[in-house]
Amino acid sequence: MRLPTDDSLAQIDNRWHGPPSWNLPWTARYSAYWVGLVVCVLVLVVERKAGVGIGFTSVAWTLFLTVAITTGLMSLVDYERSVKSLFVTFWSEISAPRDPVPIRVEFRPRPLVGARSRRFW
Amino acid sequence: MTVRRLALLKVDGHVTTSRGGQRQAWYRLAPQRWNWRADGERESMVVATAQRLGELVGHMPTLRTTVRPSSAPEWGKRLTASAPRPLPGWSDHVGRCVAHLAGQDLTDKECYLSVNLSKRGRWWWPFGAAQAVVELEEIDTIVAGPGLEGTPATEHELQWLFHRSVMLGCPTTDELGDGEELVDRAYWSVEPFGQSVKVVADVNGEQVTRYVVVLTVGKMADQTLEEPWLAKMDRLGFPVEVTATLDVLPGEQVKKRAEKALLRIKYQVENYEEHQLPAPWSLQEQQERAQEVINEVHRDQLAERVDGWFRFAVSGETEAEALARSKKVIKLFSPAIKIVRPWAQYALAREFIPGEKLSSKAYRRRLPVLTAAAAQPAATATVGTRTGVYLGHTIGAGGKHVASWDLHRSMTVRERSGLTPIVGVPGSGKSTLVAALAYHATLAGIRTTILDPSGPLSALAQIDELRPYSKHVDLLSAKPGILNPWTVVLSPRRDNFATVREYEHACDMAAEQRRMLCVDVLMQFLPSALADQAETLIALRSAVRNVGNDRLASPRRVIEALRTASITQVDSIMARHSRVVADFLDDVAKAPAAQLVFPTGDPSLDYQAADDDDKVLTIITMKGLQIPKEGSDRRAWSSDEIFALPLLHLAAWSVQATMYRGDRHEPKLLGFDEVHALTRIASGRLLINTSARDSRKWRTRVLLSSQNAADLLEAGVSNLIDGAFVLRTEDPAHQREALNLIRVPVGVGYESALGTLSQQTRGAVGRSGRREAVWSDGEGGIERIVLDLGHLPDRVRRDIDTTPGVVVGA
Repeated sequence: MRLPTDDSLAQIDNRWHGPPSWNLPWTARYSAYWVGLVVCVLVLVVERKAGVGIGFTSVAWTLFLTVAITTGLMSLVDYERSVKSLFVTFWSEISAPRDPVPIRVEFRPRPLVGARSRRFW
Repeated sequence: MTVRRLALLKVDGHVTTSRGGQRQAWYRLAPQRWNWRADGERESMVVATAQRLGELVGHMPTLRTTVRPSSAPEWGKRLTASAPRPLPGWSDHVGRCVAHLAGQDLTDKECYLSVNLSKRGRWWWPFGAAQAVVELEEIDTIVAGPGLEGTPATEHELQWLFHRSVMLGCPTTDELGDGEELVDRAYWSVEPFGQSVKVVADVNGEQVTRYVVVLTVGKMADQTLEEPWLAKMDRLGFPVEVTATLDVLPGEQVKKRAEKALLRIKYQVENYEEHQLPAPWSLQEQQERAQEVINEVHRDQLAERVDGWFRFAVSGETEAEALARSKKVIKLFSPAIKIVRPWAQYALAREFIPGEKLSSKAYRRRLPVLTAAAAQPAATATVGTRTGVYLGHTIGAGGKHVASWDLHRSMTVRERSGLTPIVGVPGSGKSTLVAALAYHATLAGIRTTILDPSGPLSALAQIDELRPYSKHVDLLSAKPGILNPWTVVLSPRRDNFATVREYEHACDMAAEQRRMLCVDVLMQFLPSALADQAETLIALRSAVRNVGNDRLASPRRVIEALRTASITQVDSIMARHSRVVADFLDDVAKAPAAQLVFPTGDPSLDYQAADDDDKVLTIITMKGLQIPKEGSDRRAWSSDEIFALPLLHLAAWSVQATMYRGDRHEPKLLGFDEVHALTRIASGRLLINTSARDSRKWRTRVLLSSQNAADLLEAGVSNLIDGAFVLRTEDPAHQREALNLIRVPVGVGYESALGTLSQQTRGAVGRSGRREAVWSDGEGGIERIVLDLGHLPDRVRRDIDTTPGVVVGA
């Protein structure tokens, strides 16, 4: 008996090679462009908060940081780990208890209310 | 100190309610036998499980597998209570069993299933509660169906599961008090981006620390049905906790997902073509797979799919040990299944606690429902009963589980016969097994009678703790007439029958059995040339009938009846025949060995049935009996060999008669060795048949030991057999017959496994003493077990070993 899996359907290659008839010098997944956009906005926000003005140098740095951070993030994202799950995992990691904390559960079973005996008719 | 409260809010029966109002019904799944089954049976089992999972669409079933250490003291308590009339050595025996078991590190696997129930309706909706009850009933019915066979988890089972989950990885005991004991008894912590969770727990007043590593199932290749892929862990030799959250998707949703995948593939291929780049081959394969999926949905053949998150928790006393164990798990599944250790170990470990949510949707497995069902987490290698005589433990795939056997459960609970064949080549351990069972039964006060023609088991009667309650009878040196057919078949007791009619019928049957037995036995004394003539049988039957059924009836009176017939018979041929047979039997009756069958007629010399009911163990031997080889020509037999078979038959009847002594409800144990010699004639086969049929009514476990399973199959008792032990069997034809005996399919490769039982390493210097068997317990369990005698004292092991000069199981 063959017991296949459907994992392959989640692994479909989803790279964007550029606009029609113009090959980009790099290939990246569609999701990388969305992540890159968000990262770029965040980098710009941080730069403005830090008082960095708009100029050639700052734009160059913005692009550099965006590409570097996005590449780093996307190296952790694959068909097994989505971008969302990456943040969930990160949050779980930083919110985990460092000092021993008791796991508390009070187990007081009660009879099931409303359960009825099985009837034939 | 911060306290981590769990999601669980309350427990109502087998339904738990978590924060957010999520209700889950909990079930304990029945263990499923996987080993010793045909592929067709396994496929049916997997399909049934897939059908049940398919019915749970939208209910997010969660599987939770855990291990429960075999509690030796609990087992000992049950064993103590099982003894009907324990002898003075019983408590010591139980103590040794418990001590031996405690050092074995044996476990039982338990598999639970939780099913999400709909959240209760709005407070203003009047039918919410009624709908919830109906839904729960529906889920109960689905989970109880074939493939899952789940029963609602009891309060104790749920409590134990919580206990085990909160103290994840820590040693636990079976003895739990009320639920409040769980409060503040386990402390969890984790290092930043740590590789494991540290669990410090209070176990029986002692602080225990364990490091838990949580693994998750990554990419899977196509699986096969050789072994349930999730039950592989049973082979590891250390406990692995499993939790698997499943989201069962209906066919329509599966189809939409596949269609979406087809579109993505199409756009991707177009993108490659636009840029004049070669498209990866994987896109073609993925397209075919997506089309297969759509086709399956159209055909409506188990089209449901399962999105599953499978987590394994491995623990160790140190982090290094836990990590080393996790590597073993990774290696076990490699390369077919990739196992990974993700980040956020604490959140992942929380998933093992009932009621907690999935911490992350990473490492989602997308499986057809059939592939998910083939995980078979409840597959296990358990065999035997929860209490009874300790036989040993299971080995091989499926892990190490205690194999114990309640000798009389099948008669009292399952209303089955008590017939258990033990087959195997000489030296495979048949006699040792019978002796170990007899030792245990005698100490428990179970009346036991063993027929051991060759005699080594007579040593049982000399064991210190058994000696005052045992007797050894060597038939070949007993008084004349001890094997008189009219003596060995007992008269029924009136108090064992409800009506006079039943009693009279039983008396008639007993008289007929005596006559048949006498004819069969006397015929065996005659030479073939005489025995093969029809007139001989007619004359003998007529004479036996004329002897009657009184206390003085005996084969010697049959000779007298034959002589009378030779004078009174009108038919000259019959008269001559009667005279010839009488003359021959007269000669036979003078032989020393024949004295056992032909009483002298002098009460001072003859055997008189005595009331020996005070003895718990009786060993009947026939030392020096020369049983002819199976298949040998009767004409070539020596006079000793000619006498051997009828004597053995009569001895077997005399042993069987002990079944009918005493109270019908009193548990008894009978053991017959050399059964192959019994099945050669009609009265021998009748004996096995009556033993099988009456064993249930007379609460008797009957052990039949033989070298060849065909002997028993030919006796026509295959439908009456309640389990069997198959020890090493080497001949291919005998292997097939042995498999038929335990109802295992032949021709699918199990035959050769019987030849590897108790295999001695080639070139080994000494004897290993290891005894293995395939045991069918009569309740559906069939497993390969090691027959462990380690709980018996050395002197007992030495006494019951039939191989001279060595102590078995030492």
